[in-house]
Formats: sequence, C-alpha cells, structure tokens
Amino acid sequence: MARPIRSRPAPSSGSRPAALPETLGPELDASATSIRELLELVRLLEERGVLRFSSDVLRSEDRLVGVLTDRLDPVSIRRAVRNLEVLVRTFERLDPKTLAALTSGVPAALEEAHRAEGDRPMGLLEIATAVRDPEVNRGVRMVLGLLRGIGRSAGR
Amino acid sequence: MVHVVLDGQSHEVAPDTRVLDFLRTQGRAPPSLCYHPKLGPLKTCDACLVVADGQVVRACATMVSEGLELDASSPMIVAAQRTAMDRIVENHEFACTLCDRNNGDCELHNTAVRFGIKEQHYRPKPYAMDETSPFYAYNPNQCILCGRCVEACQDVVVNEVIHIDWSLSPPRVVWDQGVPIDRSSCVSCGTCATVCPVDAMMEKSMRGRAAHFSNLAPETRDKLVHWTKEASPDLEPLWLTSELEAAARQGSIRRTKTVCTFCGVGCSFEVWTRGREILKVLPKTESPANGIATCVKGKFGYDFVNSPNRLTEPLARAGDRFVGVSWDEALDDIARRMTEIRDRYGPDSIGVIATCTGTNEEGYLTQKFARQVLGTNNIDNCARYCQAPATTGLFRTVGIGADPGTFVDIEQSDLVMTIGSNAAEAHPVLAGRIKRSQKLRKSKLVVVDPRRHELAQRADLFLAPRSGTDLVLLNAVAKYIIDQGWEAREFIAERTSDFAEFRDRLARYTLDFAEEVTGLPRADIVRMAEMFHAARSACILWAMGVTQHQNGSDTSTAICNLLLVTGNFGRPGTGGYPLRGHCNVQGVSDFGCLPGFLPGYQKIDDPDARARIEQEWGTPLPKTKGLTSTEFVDAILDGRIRALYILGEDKLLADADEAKVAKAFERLELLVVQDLFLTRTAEFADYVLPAAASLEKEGTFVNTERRLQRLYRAFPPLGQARTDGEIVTALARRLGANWSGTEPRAVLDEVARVTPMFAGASFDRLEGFSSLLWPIRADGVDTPVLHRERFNFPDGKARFHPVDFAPPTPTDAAYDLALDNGRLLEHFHWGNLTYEDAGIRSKVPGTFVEVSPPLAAERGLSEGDWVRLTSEAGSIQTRVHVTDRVPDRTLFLTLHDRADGAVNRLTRDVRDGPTTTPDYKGTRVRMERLESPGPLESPVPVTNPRGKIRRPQAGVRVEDKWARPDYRPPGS
Ligand code: SF4
Ligand code: SF4
Ligand code: SF4
Ligand code: FES
Repeated sequence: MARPIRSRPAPSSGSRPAALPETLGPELDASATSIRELLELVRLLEERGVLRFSSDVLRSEDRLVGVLTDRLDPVSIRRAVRNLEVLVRTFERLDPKTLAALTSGVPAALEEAHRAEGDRPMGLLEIATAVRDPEVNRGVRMVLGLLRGIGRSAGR
Repeated sequence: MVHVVLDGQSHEVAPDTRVLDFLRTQGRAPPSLCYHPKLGPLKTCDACLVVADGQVVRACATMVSEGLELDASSPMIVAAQRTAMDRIVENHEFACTLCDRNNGDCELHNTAVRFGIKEQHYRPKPYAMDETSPFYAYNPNQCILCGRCVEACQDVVVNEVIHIDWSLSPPRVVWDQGVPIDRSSCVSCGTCATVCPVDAMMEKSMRGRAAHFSNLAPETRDKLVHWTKEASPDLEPLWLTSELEAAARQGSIRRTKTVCTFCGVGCSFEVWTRGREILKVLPKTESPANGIATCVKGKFGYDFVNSPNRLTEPLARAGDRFVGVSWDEALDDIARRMTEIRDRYGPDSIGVIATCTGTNEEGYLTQKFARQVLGTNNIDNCARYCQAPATTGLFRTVGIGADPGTFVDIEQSDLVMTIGSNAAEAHPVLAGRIKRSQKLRKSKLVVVDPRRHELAQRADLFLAPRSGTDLVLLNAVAKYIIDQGWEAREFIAERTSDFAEFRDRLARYTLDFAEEVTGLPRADIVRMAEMFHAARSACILWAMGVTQHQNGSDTSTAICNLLLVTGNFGRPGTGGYPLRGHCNVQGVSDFGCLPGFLPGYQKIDDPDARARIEQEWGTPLPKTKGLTSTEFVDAILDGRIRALYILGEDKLLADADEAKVAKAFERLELLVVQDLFLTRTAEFADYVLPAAASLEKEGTFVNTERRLQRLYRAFPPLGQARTDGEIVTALARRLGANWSGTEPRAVLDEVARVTPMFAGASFDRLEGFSSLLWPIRADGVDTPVLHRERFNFPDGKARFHPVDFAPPTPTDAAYDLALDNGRLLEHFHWGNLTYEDAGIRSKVPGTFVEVSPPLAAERGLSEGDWVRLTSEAGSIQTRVHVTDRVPDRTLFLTLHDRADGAVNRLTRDVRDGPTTTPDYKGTRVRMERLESPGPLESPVPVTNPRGKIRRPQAGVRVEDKWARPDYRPPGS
C-alpha cells in the first residue's frame, strides 16, 4: 500500500551547483578573505559582461580574424580601435562603487598592453602586423593586452 | 523561363520570381528592410528601388517578365536608395556594440554596413518604451516603421492586435485601441518579435543578456553611446567594433534546432542558449509546420527546463518519504523487483506507459523494452486519453489512422470545418493558418462546438449541438446531401465501397430527428450541407470534443463518412484531420507504443512483421494483445497487473475518476515513474527517475501531419537527469537484454529495417530543418498527401462504415449541468511545465470554471466567486469566470489544476467502446456557491488577453503612410 509522498528530499550534492562553503579547508582559510574578494571580482566581471567578453574573444578568435580580414583597411581599423578604447575606458567611469574592483585591474591591464608588444604574435596580432601600421598595431595589442590584463588581475 | 536584362546581360529566370530575389541571386540586391519571404512585399521602406523598363519600382513588389530591363546600380538609382536609407535610419539609433539584437543577423545593421551608411541623423520619438508584457518589449525609439510585426500579427497568425497608427506624428506601433501591451488582446505569440528586423520589438529574454556590455543601467548606456559617438561621429568604426563584438558573442551563444515540446502542431525553431540560459526561441522561414509563427508556450514557455523544482537525482521510497539514491542503486533494485514480479505473476503482470513527449527513438525503445525484455504487449501511451477514437474512425474508413494531408492542404481548402476542437487555444499555430485562409483567401469556416471560442466567433457558420450528439448532426448532413443528389457520385463509384448500405442506414437521420436530438435549428443543418456542397475542397478537423465521448470512435467515423460522401479524401486540400495534442503522441503511436500494434501499425498477429522484428531482436514476440492504459487501472484493481513503469505521464491526473486511479496506484507492488518533476503520479512511486527535457536530447518527433522532424541537444540534462532512452536502455541491460546501438541515430536505422512505413527514414535525411511525411519509401521519397491513388484496403477502396447514435449513459437528474472541459492557450495539461514560467503564471495563475451570464444570475454568482462542482465521481472547488463563451446550462472547466480543482475528480470512468478512451466530456455536475474566504478576485487577471477588443485590419495599410503630407514618394 503505497501512500502518496508530497515532498522530495533536498537534492544531495553533485546535483546542484554548491553554494560557497563556510570554510575552505585549513590551507586556504588563511587566504579566505582574498579568495572571497576574488570570487566577488569574478562575479562583478561576469555581471558586467567582461569575463564573458574575454573568454568569447579567445573562443572566437577565428571569427574575429575573419571580420578583420574582410576589411583590411588600416584607417578604419585604427578608428575602430579608438572606438573600442573608448568603450573599455568608460568602464572606469561607469559606476564607481561596484566597479572599484574592476578599475583596479585597468592599470595592470595597460602594463600588460605594453608588454604584449614583445609577445609571440597571435592570430589577431598577425592581422595587426599585416596592416603594418604601427599605430593600429599598437592599438590592437593594447586592446588584447587590456583584456588579458583584466583576466589576469581576476586570476591573481 | 523568362529573359531579364541586367546591365546589358540577359538572364533566364523562372517566371514567378520577384525582381528582388533575382537580384539577390546575382549579388546585386538593393537594400531591403520591410520585405520578408513569409510576409511578402509590404512596400513601407522604399529602399529596394530599381529601374525596371525605365520606371523606378520597388524590387520586392515587382515580378520578372519577359524582356524586363533592370538597372540596380546606376548613380541615379543608388542615390534614390540612399535617400530611402537615410530616412529609415533617422528612426533608429545605432548602438550596435551594446545592442542585444546585433548577433550577425540584424537586418538593419547588415544592410547599413553593406550599403556603406557612414552617418545618421537620428530623431528620437516622443514615446516611452512599452515593457509591460512579461515576454517582449517595444521600443518606439528604435522602430523603423517597417510594419513587419503588423503584417505578422494581422495576416500570418491573425491575432489582429497591432497596427501602425500612420496618423500619429511620428507614427508608431499601437496595441488594440492604444493600450499598453499587457492590457491588450495580445496573446503573446511573439511572432512580431520574431520578424522585427531590429531591436525595436524584442524578446525580454535577450535584453541585457546577448551583448557583452548591454546589461547596463539605461543612463549609463546612454552616456556610453554618447561618448562613443563623440569619439567618432563617423559610423565606420562602430561597424567594425560592433562586428568584432558580435563575432565574439558567437563564442558563447549557441543556436540549436529543436521541435516544440508542447502541442502536436510540431513547430520547429532555433533555440539560442548560452550555457543553460535560454536567450530566445527563433522560428525560421524554413520551419516546415509553422514558418515564422509560434504560440506563447513554444516561444516563451521554456523556463521549466531550468526550474529549481526539476528532479535531478533518482529518488527511492523509504517509508513515508523519498530519499536520493544513486542511479546504480535505483536501477539495480528496479530490475530485481521487476524480475521477481515477472517470475511470480508472468510478464503480463507488468504494464508500461510510454511518454508522448519523448522522442520516436525513445518510444521505440520503450515498446521494445515491454515486448522483448519484459515479454508483454502491455504498452500504451497517452493517445488512449485523446486520439485513439479518431484513429479508429480513420482506420475503419480509409485504412490509415492519421492526418491524410498537411497544413498546406488545410490552408488551401475551400471549406474548413472544426468540430470539438478549440484550435485557436489548443493548436494555435494551425488555427493561425485557418484564420489566414479565411481572411485572405475568403475560404469558409464552419465550427461545431458547445462554446463560442475564438474560431466560433470567426466562423461563417457556428453550430452548438447538445453535448454528445455530433454524430446525429453529421449523419443528418450526409443524408441531406444524398437526398439532394449532391453526393460525389464519381468518387463514390470509383474509390469507395459499401455506399448502398450506408445510405440505407441513414434513413433515421431526418432533419426532424436531427433537430430534436441536437437542438439545432434545421436551417443551420441545411446550411452546413449547402456549404459542403458548394466547396470544391473541404477538410474536417477534430479533437477531444469528439473523441472524449462514449461514441468517440463512431462520431469520428461519421466525420470520415461525410468526407467520403462529398469526395473529400485523396486530393490536395481535403481530408479528415484529428489534431494531436502532445508534441509526439503521433510518433510514439507510429513507433509501436500501442498494445495491438507493432511499430508502423503492423498488427501484432501479422506474420511478416513478427518475423522481421523477431529476426532483428533475436527473440520471440509476445502473442496476445496487451491491455490499454485505461484498462491497466481495472487490471491493477483486480490483481492482474502488479507493476507499472510510467514514463512522462501524469496518469493520476490524466485518467478519468482520480479517486479510482489513486486506489489502484496504492495497490501496486511496484511503481516506477520517470519524469522531469515530482508529479502527482510520481508521489505514489517506489522509484522516481529524473528524466531529460526535449532541449537536452537528440532524436525525432512526428507531428500531427505525420511529419518527422529532428531535434538536437542544446545542452546536457540537468543534474543527474538522463534521457528516457538512456534510462530504458540501462534498465533493459540490467534485466539481461544485450542491447547495443541504442543511440538515437542507430535506433532510427533499426526502425527503418523493421518498419516498411519508415523504410527511408534516417537522421541524414532529416538534417536541420528538413522533414519527411510518412510513409517514407526506401529511396527517401515521402508522402505529403495520402490516398491519392488508393485507400489502404486490399481492394484499394475506401469503405463507408455506417454508425448509429446511442444516447449516452444517463446521469442522475440532480446533476443538472453539462461540464465541458479543456485547455487554455497558455497552459499545457496539468501545468507541470507551464506553471514553472512566471510570465505564463502572471497571465493565467490558476484554473476556473466558465459560467454563462444567465446561469450566474440564476445562481447569484459573481466573477471570482468560489463554487463547488459535484459529479457522480467526486467534487472540486474552483473560481467562477462569467462569460458568454459558454451556453446557458453548460460549464467549461479549464483542466490546468493538479489538486483541489483537478477535472478528473469529476469525470466518470465511462469509456468509448472500441478504444476504452474515457468519456471526459460527457460529465454532468451540480454547482453550489461557496462563501469566499476573501474579497472576490477574477481568476482572469487584467493582463490576460481574454475579453479584450482586437483591432483587425488588412495588413500594415501602407496606403495610409503614403497619404501622409510628409510622405515623399520613392526617388523624390
Ligand atoms: S499577438 Fe501579440 S505577440 Fe503575437 S504578433 Fe500580435 S502583438 Fe505580437
Ligand atoms: S517594431 Fe515592427 S514596425 Fe518597428 S521595426 Fe520592428 S517590425 Fe518594424
Ligand atoms: S505549443 Fe504547439 S502551436 Fe505552440 S509553439 Fe508549440 S507546437 Fe507550436
Ligand atoms: S523591401 Fe521593398 S519596399 Fe521595403
């Protein structure tokens, strides 16, 4: 005689994304505050679309190269890069409170941008090289570097 | 072929080609923004100008003709195109990098880029955005006034809600008589958003989610747009950055073709996802059953897939509670207990119910599990509750129990009759085609139904016979037609048999008799006969209002007889169409989940079929016909059935007489339920197995047209959920079956080997949006229209099958009201899926009973009052909605309730003889008013479209635009 059961148990772990545990284990507990801040930063980056943008750029590199090769016109690329710069820079101006964490990544990102000039060329950078316009070249590197910098500061 | 001259060169072109389409093939298309292949030329944008034989014309609205000389690119015409584009882009602010619509398919963006638009003079409109709908929003400031949304709403889905008010300055899209979206008659089908070429009419699920940086506060966004423009007023950099950004989006946005999981229309679409997040549902021009149309469930009803209420791990009964267990534990134990029961009581002591929301391949595996692994033909599916009687009617008369044609046939027919079907709510996209044909082609519509629902309101002839007497009406019309000598003599002579007997058996169905039994005026009966006589082609569509009666099979047969008398089978535009209710109820029946049929409707005693399958499976097949799903209940109560394995069916709520079913469930020694949620049926289970949703699996469905379509996996199952196919396979293996090749593609190949009807079916032939209508020959040729050469009987002739009226089993006179019951547009059955959607819940929060104004007055009832309805079987409580949709002494109860208002607490377990389908619609009740616990509140919220006034018009009325004083004709 099976009577109806109206409720189900709380799902056991593994079925659902776990909430952040109260303690992170002895080794990690020492850095708990920074880890929590880091997760908060990741959440902010995610919320603002930056995290997704960075990973999407990496995942879609071929498509981006396609868009660029379709219009290998140095002038427009240079302008585009300025446009992007404006876009990215405005993150500093967006919402000072919630973006404090993000903006702290920007100086690191700019540093990264300068370093990137010496890096092994990637697909997108090859395009910049092909244009042989130092300004465009620098711009593309800067944008990519900026993204990587933001990513890196999130991972730090 | 005709010859067209372009730039001095002659081209051969098919005669019915639009100049715009021809130019596209040549890579020379002018810009075009209002034209859409499913909407035709709207002539609102004036961008597609070309010179044809010296005249400036719109390429979208001009057909090629012999010797036509075209100029699409001289400086003069390009200047004209540019002027038109400039006028369009004044209406729309380019902020593409921040726009959720810019996913490589924004038509304005792409056109502007291709055409080299370098600047814009944007003029904001003085109207606020309308965000009142839970599903989509309208932003007048981005609206380019192309009118596509209007054309779609007015003339494709024919919901007739929106228009562009060209008399306003500036014009804008307006709902009904100028109300906010959620106060209008809008049924939230979303077709307007589907066809909008820009972000003006957009799904809310896209907003702030598709673009990388669009989730900004509006002020921030405005500032950003402003700064970007300041940095460079020239649009060129914007084009590049936004294209880069759009290309980057593709890194995480996935577009997966799927088929709707709700009704049997079989709408197909792309579902756009990021991870598990559903961004939007996008029907496509190439979607065979629906084109660009959907209903609210298909377009916006998928929240359930990610609901926190979904089952994510197997559950086992432990005393009076469920505990989570591993798959191994669950499956091992189920296999052990099934084996014990089979060994002790024999294979027929177990019953299996296949899910009609699973795929064909899963259905095939389920019946194979019952037959090969358990050794029983006790396999059935939910067609038992709805369509089995319709199938019987067709089998008796034309030999194939399925829709004989496609939606195209219905749309092309001169006369469409619906009987016992509320298609505008239960099969909304098909209803759109019927409404369209009536509006644009002036086809005729006859509706036979107790309720004045939307199609009834639109009908050229609406008949509301007494409940259960449709058969008398149909026979009387057939007799009248024969008496007038209007029968299709040649067709009857050449393509049918048994006419004489049929004619003689009609003697009793005089107009007097029909008038008396049905309560219809004779003039209406005669009018119906005349309309059939006048129509060159006619289709009859029917659903539960016919089948869920004690005489469901016979009434279905009477429908087919009438079609045969009038010669309406075997030609395009004709036929009898049962409208299937679930997305794959047709398919699981076709693939063998029936107690009397092997896959492909091969009889279980057909020696050839048995041999083919036994050879493929390597085991003998059980010989005796199994029990039906409704008979399972009796068999449990008398001890013949000891275990049930139910896949995706809320049987407690679906069968008539809930109390009886509950008693039966409590008697079972083993109940295994596989579903997405802890359904009312699952509450009785010993094991509840978490199943995958349609978006989480691969396979095929068959829609009501017999159309096989593929669905692809958009993301993996939630938690530990598995597909029905995987679960059945794992269980079969534990029961000793040596199953391999159970992935969907291989299963369809196996079906093709053992089922002549599916000989040519394969995943490859069903790639993408391709579809095939069975029977499918081995060479892949399918059959859109059945019975063209012969009917499916040995002599190739259709058979008249006389049927007689027997009054339904009487009910105690104390139950003084007829209780009709059925679906609402927004919900699906018990609402297990649709109540998970906040938007849908806001439109229809719960169930209610419709009461006519005179009856409400007589009983002192007001809108929102609580009442108790009591039948011979039980009683329920629900709220009153007073409406003249129902006739005086008939109530209509919506069936979307899982507890105190569940309809099957009222229905009696009385059945249609041949099929054992319950007589759900023959229920009679009495009604008492209850004291309301709080203030009266209508069960139909103000945001619900019911009772609102539509605003029909023909298309977008571009003539009104042309009449505006500020309109400048093309080229000026
Ligand atoms: S009914 Fe509503 S959602 Fe559907 S097309 Fe019309 S306005 Fe759009
Ligand atoms: S809202 Fe309608 S009229 Fe406006 S752009 Fe979209 S489809 Fe065209
Ligand atoms: S429920 Fe039916 S009509 Fe609505 S979208 Fe799905 S298949 Fe189409
Ligand atoms: S596309 Fe021809 S007028 Fe709009």
